[in-house]
Amino acid sequence: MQRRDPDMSPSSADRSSLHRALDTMPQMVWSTRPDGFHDYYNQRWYDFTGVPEGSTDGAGWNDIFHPHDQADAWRKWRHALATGDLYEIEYRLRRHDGVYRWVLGRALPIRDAQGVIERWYGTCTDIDDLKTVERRLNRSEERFGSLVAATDAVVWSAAADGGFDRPQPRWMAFTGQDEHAAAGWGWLAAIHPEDRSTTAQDWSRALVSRALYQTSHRLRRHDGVYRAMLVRATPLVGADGSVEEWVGIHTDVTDLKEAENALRRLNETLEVKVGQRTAELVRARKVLEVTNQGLETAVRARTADLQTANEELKRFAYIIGHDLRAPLVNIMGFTSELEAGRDALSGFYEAAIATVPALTSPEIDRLFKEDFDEAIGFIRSSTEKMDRLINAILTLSRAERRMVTPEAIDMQAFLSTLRGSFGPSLAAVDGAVEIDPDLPEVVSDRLALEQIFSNLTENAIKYRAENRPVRIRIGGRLSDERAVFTVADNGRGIDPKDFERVFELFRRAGVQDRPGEGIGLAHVRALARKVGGRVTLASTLGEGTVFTLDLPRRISQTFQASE
Amino acid sequence: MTDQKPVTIVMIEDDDGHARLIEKNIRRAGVCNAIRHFSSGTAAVDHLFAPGDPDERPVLVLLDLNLPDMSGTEILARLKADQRLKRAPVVVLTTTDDQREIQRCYDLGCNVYITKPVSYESFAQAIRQLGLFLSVMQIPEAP
Repeated sequence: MQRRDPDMSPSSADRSSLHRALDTMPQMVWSTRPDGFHDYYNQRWYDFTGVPEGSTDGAGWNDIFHPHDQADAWRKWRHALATGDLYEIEYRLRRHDGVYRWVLGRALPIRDAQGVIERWYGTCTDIDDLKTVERRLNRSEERFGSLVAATDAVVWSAAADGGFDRPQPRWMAFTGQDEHAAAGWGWLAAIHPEDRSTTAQDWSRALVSRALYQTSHRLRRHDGVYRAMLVRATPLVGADGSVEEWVGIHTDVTDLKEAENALRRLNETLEVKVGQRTAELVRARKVLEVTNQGLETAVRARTADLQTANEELKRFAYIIGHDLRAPLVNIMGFTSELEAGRDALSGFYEAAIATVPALTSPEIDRLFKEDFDEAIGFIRSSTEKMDRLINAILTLSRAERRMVTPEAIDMQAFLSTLRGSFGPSLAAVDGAVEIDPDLPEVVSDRLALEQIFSNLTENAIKYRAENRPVRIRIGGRLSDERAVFTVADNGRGIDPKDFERVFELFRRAGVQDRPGEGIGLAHVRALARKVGGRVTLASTLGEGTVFTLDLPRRISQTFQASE
Repeated sequence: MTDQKPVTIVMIEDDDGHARLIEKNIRRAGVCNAIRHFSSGTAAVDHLFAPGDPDERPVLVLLDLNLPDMSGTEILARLKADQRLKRAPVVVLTTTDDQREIQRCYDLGCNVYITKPVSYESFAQAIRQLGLFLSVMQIPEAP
């Protein structure tokens, strides 16, 4: 490019060669007269802007900059011209395609030996790519900053040694520490005393390992309240591999922690409640168990008491049987001695009055002939009765004491034999015993059954109705695991009010016209009980009585052991 | 019994009435041996087991089972376990006719078991028979 300089000076030739050289530069270069009149642009300028040569000479350059930058550029340019200072500006230059790109404009004056400005040389450097990166960076930083501001987070940076080496605005704002107090490891003073040691250890470890620092501690807020903080920091490593700085962030998790604690407390409360409830249930169950045990114990004790009482009763009956008999022996014995004495005296009396009749008197006579006999008779009959009663008690007591011996009994054969033994007594009253066929077999105590059926048969004969021949019918059937036998007679019957009474010892019912001590049915009931059975009766006065004997079909050794 | 040392009858009976009746009937049966009556088991045991019985006579024991201070079966067992006394006849005289007790007495070595019947005739009869029995009984001397 050649341009004629209207004001050619001796240095014009030099300038021309300079301008040719400048044309080859990738940078836009321009030059002005001392008064600021642009009279040179290199080729790169025209390539970039696409403007016709010479169109930007003088002050025309200003028009192709972004309208927003034109005033600023003009002002700075005038200022530089006025002062001779460095001209420097970032502004947007319109490219040939109409796109404004950021360029850095710089210009310096060239002075002569006297210091007078000869010319200004300036450059425009395309910094648009740099600007874009910078803008993005700024935007990113802004975003980060607003993010940080939005989160209550305390962002800080620390030197490689872990100390604060520059002001930490967020830290200072949060903790209220001033720059001096927080400097170095001074920040540690804002950590809760109890957390300082672990924090220092964690931080030191992170500094050495250069790994992500992660901890939690309580940090004192400017108002003195400690807040729970989650802490994270990461090292920024330089090109040489050394840590340039640490960037860290404290996040306030107090509310989170409180919520967590509240939740935990709630859980604990729930657990405590569940625990309490469980404990209550366990306690209740224990009480129940104890009560049950108490009941069992009570039942056992009661059973033991009853057994003891029962044993005592048996012994009592046995002892009574023995000990009541002993005086009876004396009463009877000495009564006999008295009788013998009386007989001797009678003989003596007879002889005496035969010799001396005057010795007699009606009283003495009655004494020998009636009173002695009567007295001795009563003593005898009473003693005999007492002996029978005692024997009855003894019999019952022995029945109680006797061990049962289970054996299989064919009841059909058993009762036939029994009937045979009643042959004479039945014949005497024109009686008959009918035995039903197909009677069940039982496993029981033969002797007990013998006594039971004998007693019942005996009673049927004894308490017969006088106006009809005795008819006794014995039946039997199975009912589950029990064998139920009946002995029915056509006797005089028993009044319903006496149904229970007849089973009591020494008690009898109805007209007392038969000999007996009232032990038969008591014995029957005791024997039935002994073999695990029970005996009941149904009766209609004047028609007859049915005794029912309900027996276990089988009795076992176990059954005996429980007796 | 004449060619032997006369036998002493040791009667252990707590009922004095019984003792008297027994003695009367023994005498009525014509038995005139000495009768020593002890109304307690303890006194009888003290006498029987005293070292060197001064009498050194053979004994026959009439034993009641129902004694207030010890059981007659215990005395019976001790008599039969004793070297000196085990051959002495023991007649158990008691009110009970309980078969199990009778059996137990025989098992222990009782020689005769007599139930005291309430009926005096029977009782007197039994004792007289005992007297008869005593009169023919060979009683070994104590070793």
